Amino acid sequence: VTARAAGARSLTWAAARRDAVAKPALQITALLLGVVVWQLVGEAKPRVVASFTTVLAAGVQLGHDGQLWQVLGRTLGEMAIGYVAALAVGIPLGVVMALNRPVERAADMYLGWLLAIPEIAMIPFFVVAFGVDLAAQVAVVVAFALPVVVKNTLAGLVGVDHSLLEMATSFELNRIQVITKVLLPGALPLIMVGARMGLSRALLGVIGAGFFVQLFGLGGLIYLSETTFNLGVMFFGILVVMILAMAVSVGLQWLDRRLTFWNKDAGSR
Amino acid sequence: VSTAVAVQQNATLSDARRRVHHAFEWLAGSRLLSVILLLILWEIGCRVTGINPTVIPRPSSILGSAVDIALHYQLPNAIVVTLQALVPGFLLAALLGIPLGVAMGVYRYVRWLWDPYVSILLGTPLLAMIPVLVIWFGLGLTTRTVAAFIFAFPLIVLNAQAGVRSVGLSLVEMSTSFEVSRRHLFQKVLLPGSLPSIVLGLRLGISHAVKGVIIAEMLMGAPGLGGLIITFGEAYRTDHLLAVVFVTLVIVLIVDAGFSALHGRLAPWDQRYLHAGAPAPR
Repeated sequence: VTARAAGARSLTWAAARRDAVAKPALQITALLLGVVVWQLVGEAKPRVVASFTTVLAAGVQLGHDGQLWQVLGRTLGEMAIGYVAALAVGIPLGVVMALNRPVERAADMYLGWLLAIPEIAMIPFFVVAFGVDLAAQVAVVVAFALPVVVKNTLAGLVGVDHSLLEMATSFELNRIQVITKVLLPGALPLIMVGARMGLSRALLGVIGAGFFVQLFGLGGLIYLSETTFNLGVMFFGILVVMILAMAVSVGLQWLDRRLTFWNKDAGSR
Repeated sequence: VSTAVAVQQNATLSDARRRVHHAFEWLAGSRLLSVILLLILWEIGCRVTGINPTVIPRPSSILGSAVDIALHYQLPNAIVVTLQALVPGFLLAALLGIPLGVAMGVYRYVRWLWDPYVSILLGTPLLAMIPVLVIWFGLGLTTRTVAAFIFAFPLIVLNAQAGVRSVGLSLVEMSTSFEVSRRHLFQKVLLPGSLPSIVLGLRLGISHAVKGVIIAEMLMGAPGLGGLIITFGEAYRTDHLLAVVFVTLVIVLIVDAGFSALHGRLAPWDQRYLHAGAPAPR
């Protein structure tokens, strides 16, 4: 190693070390600056923006009188029921569709259409069909989550390597074995992508349902505090939604990495 | 001469046969046919089971409703109102989002600074933010335009940034070693390389912006497509409601096809334009 090469390496190391400090420093500064600006704007214009401290106070108040836990329980409960139903229906549906060639060919177009419809526009339809009821809330969650689950399951199964299927045939696996031992494990990475997108969309659905069906959950809290001009509660509700969305995405990424550990780029999709 | 005529006749005959065969094949794999079949099955199902038409209306009555609201000017007006918010909001998002995304791709300091904010916008269910917009901008066109903007903006920024960063380092290094000026590097290497991704961002952005405008209209009771949906829902006119939903779908599909064609023209090597692809989950 010549002195010059060593020098160059230490230079890049120094640059890398400088970046490793500069990046988080800049990002934390940017976020802190954002919070400070938020606080100042909130204090200057309390009728427009609830300041950071007002939002925290509103949150503490909601937690103290128990309304927060009630709202969270409702929202998470509806979301969980709808999401599990969407998985329980969507994954088998995707498998059945993938096994039937004409259906599989036609399905792609219809699933694309279902995803192109602004889902929110379907909520009034569910209200008519199910009434202003828990059933409508859950149906909205299912309707939001189902298409991505089916689409990704289908894509996962169709994308399974053909040589694996040929090998399965030469080992004389029966149909059930082919599905459980070859197709489903092969499709798992994409099924997990569908499950992840489905959960994010289930969260959207439960908030949308809170706006337009029953005003009980988080969506209802945000909507009602808008109509009563209670900015602190409204901003706090949105903050909770943001935190839930982040928790959902981080949690499922972790689960995805554990379930499909052989698939290196699972985390990046 | 006669053999030549015979051969020619033979050729036209097999041509015709081939054409019939093609037509048959096209029909068998046709999307149109599958849609028609599905609608017929739906109609028969409704008639046979005698299900309450308020819950599941027949396709024939949905079609009738579509004609009805189209003729009585509600639908054309609603489309115009929706576009009035959609187009400026989307254009603003493109005008601000593409430069920001490109700058984030080129300069890492810009990227580091803006990354947390773009991630927050991308990760947040923006639906929950619309009540805030109503408080900030009132019950008018501004709120709906801003809704279109914030739904399109993060996707446009993200894809512009990804486009610049997808240009290989080796290309940039080669340009530097050929002593290409910065301006040339930008014009001849970075911009063409990132163009497909930018168009993809615009495409995802506009279909997302449609959702934003419709949600805002539904929350505000504005007279656009979203407002029509709420009105018909409250009146229990599911046939009219689904007619509006299908018209919205057709508009989204037409816009999407337009951007897909643009993508294919600008970057025929990039196969992504062929796939509709699931839009980002938000």
